[in-house]
Amino acid sequence: MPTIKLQSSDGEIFDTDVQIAKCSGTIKTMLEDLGMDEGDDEVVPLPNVNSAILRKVLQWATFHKDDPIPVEDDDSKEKRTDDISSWDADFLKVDQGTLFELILAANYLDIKGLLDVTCKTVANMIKGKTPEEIRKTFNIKNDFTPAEEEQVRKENEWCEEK
Amino acid sequence: MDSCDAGSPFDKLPPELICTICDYLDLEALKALSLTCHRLEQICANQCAHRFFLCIRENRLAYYNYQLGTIAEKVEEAAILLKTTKRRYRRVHLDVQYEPEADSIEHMQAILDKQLLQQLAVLKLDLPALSGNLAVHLSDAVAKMDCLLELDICYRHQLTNLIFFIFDHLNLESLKAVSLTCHRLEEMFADYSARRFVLSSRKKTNRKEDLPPLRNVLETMEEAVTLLQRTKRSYRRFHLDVRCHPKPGSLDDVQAAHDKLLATRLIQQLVVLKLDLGYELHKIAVKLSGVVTKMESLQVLYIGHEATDNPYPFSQLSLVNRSLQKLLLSN
Repeated sequence: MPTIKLQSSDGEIFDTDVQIAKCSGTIKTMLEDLGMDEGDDEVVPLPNVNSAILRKVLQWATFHKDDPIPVEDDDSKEKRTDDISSWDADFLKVDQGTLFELILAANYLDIKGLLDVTCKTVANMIKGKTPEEIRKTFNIKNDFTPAEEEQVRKENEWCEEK
Repeated sequence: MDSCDAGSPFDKLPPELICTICDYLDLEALKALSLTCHRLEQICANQCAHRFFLCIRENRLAYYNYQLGTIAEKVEEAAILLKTTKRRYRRVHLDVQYEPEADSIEHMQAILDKQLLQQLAVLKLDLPALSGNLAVHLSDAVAKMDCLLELDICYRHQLTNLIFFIFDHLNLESLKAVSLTCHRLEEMFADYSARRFVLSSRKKTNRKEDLPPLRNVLETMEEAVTLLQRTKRSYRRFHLDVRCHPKPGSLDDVQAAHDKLLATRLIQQLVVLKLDLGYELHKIAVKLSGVVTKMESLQVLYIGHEATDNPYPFSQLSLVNRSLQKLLLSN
């Protein structure tokens, strides 16, 4: 099976199946645009992803390599978050730092499936919580004055979905 | 990755990725998130612009007990909010229905003067009494409202209001039953029905073989004419669907039926007209053109006919009608 070499930001080289690497839209485009051929000893540098995260991403891509290409659903309605597979749920039992790094990496590497499932996981961590609980969960510093907070609360009260 | 002590993980995400997460949140979760800090509030506000609208209104259940002062205050608050908010809304609703009192007119005028009215998409007012003064004021205000899509002005005394409020919770079947109980409730239903319902004489079908035979259609037409002459109700829209399945021998009958139909006064009120013209379209085309031209409320016109040797079956139709939004010609 043809492989290519991916290099993480901290210099580690990953020998990867081309098919798996091409889960990433970014790598796929790079290979096609730059005319890099399999078997070349050239290394694809990924300066925005460190080795720990790249290892996780490749683990995800290996498991999902035969998935159909996800369809672009671009309606602005609320999307489901209760359809995360049990493998993905287990895979994403990681610390918050890693979860958010995975979001950034999925975005940079253009892997829609991974971006979807990581964002869903964060959304599930937000749902059903009070503002104070959300702050606590994500270590967010409250920079509202009481008056500003009251103003936002009031405006929210009148906000309806349609 | 010197992890969590260095602030929130959200700080590392660019706004567009936080928006991707927000796409998965319901309104409640978004509201909670918006109350956590300034940056997330701004990002949620951007979400608001395309998913939500601002709706300033009283709880309808409670508004019979509302003092007028409270409503004036509410409008004042809303005006301040719209002036200071950094969010952008796709639509803003203002629903200030309340029980009118003698001195309500000045309050109404004060409301109409508010700057916020420029941004409104929906305005619902309960008017105490439409004095000439207020009417002029209202006309001026509405003329300036560039985003207004819906205007609802009510003037009713309290009891009717309450009964309408009960009607709001009934479906058409129950309302029909209520209208059959006594004169007074029937009249109220008639008033009320104009807002919610459409009068439609049709059976829902598109398959030719399901269309009723001509005789039934003639009867329906006759009944519709009689009903419209007698009814005290007013309807928002009136549909007449007189497509039938003409038999070759019944052409004269069809012709006569259409003549009769086009001659009736009811045709002026129609919003939707569906006709099946049988075989000889040209016989009726000129007459139909003339009638349709005069139908000022017509929005949908459907004309069906049987296939003939004539390659241009509709060539003699000449329709001039400004209100028409949809025209279907088929064979």
